[in-house]
Amino acid sequence: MKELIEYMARSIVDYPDQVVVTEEREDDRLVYHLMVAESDMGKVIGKQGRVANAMRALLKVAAIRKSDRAVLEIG
Amino acid sequence: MKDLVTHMAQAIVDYPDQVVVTEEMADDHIVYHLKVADSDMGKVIGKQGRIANAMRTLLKVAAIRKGTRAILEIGEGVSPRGAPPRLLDEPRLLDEPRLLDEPRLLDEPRLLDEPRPLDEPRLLDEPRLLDEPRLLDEPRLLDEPRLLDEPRLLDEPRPLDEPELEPAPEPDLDLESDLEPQSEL
Repeated sequence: MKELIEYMARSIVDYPDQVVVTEEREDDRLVYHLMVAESDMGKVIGKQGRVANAMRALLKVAAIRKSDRAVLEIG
Repeated sequence: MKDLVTHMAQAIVDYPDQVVVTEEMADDHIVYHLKVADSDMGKVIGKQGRIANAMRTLLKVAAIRKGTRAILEIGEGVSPRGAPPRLLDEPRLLDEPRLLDEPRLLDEPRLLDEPRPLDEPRLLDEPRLLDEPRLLDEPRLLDEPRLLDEPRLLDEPRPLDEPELEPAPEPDLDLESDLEPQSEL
């Protein structure tokens, strides 16, 4: 799932090499922390968080497939 | 971008090896066609198309970054590029459409609120006569008034009762004594 987030983020930012995703288990869920270049923040969040929520929707389905729960945090 | 669609789809389906993405150039945009196992169709579409739209959102941003536009189509049912599908015959009804049951009201219709006038009706202006009322002609009698019959008395007039005379007062005899006798002079 970490790879999925990296792939999605790298596809939409201007500086793909600055995309960093960290994974952390917190109780019963996985917390993913996405960091991108300052100037790319708007791109991964999107208008009214639309892009961020799109990534979260896909992450959620991917987690359910693995009988897990996942949360995506940006910035 | 084709890889992005493939990656997203493969991350959420049960059969990643059955994910097939084809890319097709259209006038000013690229059409991506995503095909997955039948049992995975629900997963890539999602409740109310939420997942499909999430993928479209990300694809759109990726396309904008490359100065193009992209469309994601999922599953079958899309005509291949070229001539639009056409009907062999004009569609027609096999049977005249008819109602299975007589239509009826589920509930007795009723008014939600008691109907009431929106405003108390009122006159915008005080009613007034446009002109002072006047007689078109001077009123006049059609005929000279006259008596239908000569007036007459219904009964001969008679006194209602004989007038009852007060009995004359008894002359006071003492008055005479006060008189000064003149004849005796």
